[in-house]
Amino acid sequence: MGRRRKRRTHVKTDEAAAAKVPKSFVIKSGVVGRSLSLLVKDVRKTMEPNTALRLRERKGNKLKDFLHVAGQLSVTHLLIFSKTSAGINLRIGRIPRGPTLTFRVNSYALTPDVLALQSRPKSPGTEFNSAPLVVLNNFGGDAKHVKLMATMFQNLFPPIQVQTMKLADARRVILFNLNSETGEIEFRHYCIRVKVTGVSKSVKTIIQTDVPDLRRYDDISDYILRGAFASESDVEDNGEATVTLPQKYIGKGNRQAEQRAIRLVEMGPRMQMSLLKIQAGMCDGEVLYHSLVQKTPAEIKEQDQRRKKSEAERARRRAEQEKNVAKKQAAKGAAEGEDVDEKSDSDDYSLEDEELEEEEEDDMHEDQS
Amino acid sequence: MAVETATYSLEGLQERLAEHRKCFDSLVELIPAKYYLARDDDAPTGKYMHNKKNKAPKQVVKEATKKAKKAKLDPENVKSVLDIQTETLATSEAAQEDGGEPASADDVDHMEGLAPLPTGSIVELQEKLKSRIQELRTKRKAPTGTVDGEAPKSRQEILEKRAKRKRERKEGIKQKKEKRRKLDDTKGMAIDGPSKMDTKANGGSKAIKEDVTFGKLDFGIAEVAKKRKGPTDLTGQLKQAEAKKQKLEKLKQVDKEKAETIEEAAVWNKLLKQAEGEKVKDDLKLLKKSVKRKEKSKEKSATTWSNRQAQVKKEQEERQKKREENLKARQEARNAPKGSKGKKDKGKKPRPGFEGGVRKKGGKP
Repeated sequence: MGRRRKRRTHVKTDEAAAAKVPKSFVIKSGVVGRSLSLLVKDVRKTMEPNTALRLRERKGNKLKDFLHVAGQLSVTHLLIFSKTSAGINLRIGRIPRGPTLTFRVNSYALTPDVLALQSRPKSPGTEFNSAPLVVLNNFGGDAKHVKLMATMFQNLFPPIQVQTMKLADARRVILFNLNSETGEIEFRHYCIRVKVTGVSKSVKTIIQTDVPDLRRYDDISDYILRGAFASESDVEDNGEATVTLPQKYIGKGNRQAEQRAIRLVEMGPRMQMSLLKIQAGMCDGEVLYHSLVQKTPAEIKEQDQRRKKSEAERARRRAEQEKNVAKKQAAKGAAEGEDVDEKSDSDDYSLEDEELEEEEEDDMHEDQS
Repeated sequence: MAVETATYSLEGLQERLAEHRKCFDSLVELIPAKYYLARDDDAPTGKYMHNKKNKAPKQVVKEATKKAKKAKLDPENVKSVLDIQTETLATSEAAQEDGGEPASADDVDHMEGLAPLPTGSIVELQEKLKSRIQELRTKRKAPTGTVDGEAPKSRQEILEKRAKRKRERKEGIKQKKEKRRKLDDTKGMAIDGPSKMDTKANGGSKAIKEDVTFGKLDFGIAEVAKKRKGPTDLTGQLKQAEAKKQKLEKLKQVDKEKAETIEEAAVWNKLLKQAEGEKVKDDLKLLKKSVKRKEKSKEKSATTWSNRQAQVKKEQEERQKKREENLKARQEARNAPKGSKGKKDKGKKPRPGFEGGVRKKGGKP
């Protein structure tokens, strides 16, 4: 007798497929304040299930730390919220070598704020066990930066596995709407709900809930025959949002081939953001697009020269360092048994690199302002 | 001759007939009445009837059967065929005299035992049969041949008619389809014309442009079929990247604008690919670095391998050397004079179980 294998419940994860699924870190950088920290939490929630929901950041954590860990955990995207004097920035970058899109978050609303607008907000259930569907509106233009944004947003979430996906996995929708006039992008997060259509409110209640509230009625017929008509939204879309369920769906009575209306209920958070710039690398590299700064060829040339100069400087320092190391080695060879702390050397390297990066970043800030 | 004439002469015909009759009657008398006359109550024997069991009380049934048996044995009750026939004839004559008209069809049926041949001409019978058939046809609502002119006369005709009907139906469907195709290509399909929908939904206003795209779709098959372009090894990629760069630089000297556009397009293309998660290996610096790393690792593994081989060889040689030494020592020991070892204790009696050696040579295995 062979060993019993639980093929249905213990499905082996396909590692090749799992590697393809985009995973993300949503982090904040610098001092951002309480409200923005909450936004970070909300955004993490929207990126579920392929994100680090309870990622602990410390003050001392640098971008580099996350990048190092990301490689190990096959994390593909980094979403960094930061706050400057000019406003709130969101950088979305692909690990390890970019590109990075920097957005300015013009305004945002947290999940509790969005829910507070609703008369009867639903508490979330199992919606976050599956990845959201992505809907991009108005991203079809020919502009390169728009195209790049669209691909970036699409690849932020796992693709729809056409052959294996179940209808019950489609629970949430993330909408990116580009306003072509202002260039502003609206980020919205919805929950998909299916509703019974074409029946009166009382019948709907009986179908969808277990027990209707009959306190005020003597008989069930009174309840059904009272003047309760179809809901307003039913009449509004006059059956355009009605579908025949191709598979069963979450919820009572949502069996296959059943007629249902699709409703999107907003869950939050909301963000209004506009693209600031596109960088070739992961939070560094050449700036290929900037919405505010248009550089003249002369300026570009100057920047290029500056970069070359700094590179030359770096090369010079490296050469000097190597020379020093060689000298030290020679000294070590001469005086036996003497330990040379190599670690300190490597620290020197990284320190130099960081200094350089900081310089570059300063340049960028100058560009922005 | 006399006999022949006698048979045809009318004289004594009555007597002759009487004689014949007597002869026949005697013959008929030999046949038991129950075999000669068909009785009405004989037909349903009750053998195969579903509910043949008598519902009467058992005692009654028993008594009745007893009586019947006794009656059977009574010679008074045994009637010959002739007796029965005369009896029935007498009763029928009496009835005729009473009614004064010939026996009806029912009577004929009833008297089948007496007159096996039915009365009436063949035309009458045929008519009767026809009417009976008609009656039955109407009862089962058989199709009358009045609609399609004449009723089909043979099986062949029926089959032909059926085939014709089928053909006609098929042609009708074909025509209908063609008509529909001419009318509208998409009619009956589940798609709704996008152009129509748009104009209707927007009410003719072109300001709102519907441009919705969705997430990526993974069909699971395309990935396998997709073949990689260009070299797959690092050195090859490095060479390609270098060649590209050189080409671009050459072009820059000739046509700067074109070179710049090409470069820009390449950069954006690379960005798009990277955003999709594809690795673009065209950075000379990184490529060189990784090539170097790979070379280093190869070098390292080569040295470790050669070291290991040397080590293995050395160990093998050592072991061989040791083995040879051992063999040599054993050989020497064997060649040495035999009694050399035991010479010292000669004369001393060996202690039992200690200095034996007897067992070693022979004894138990």
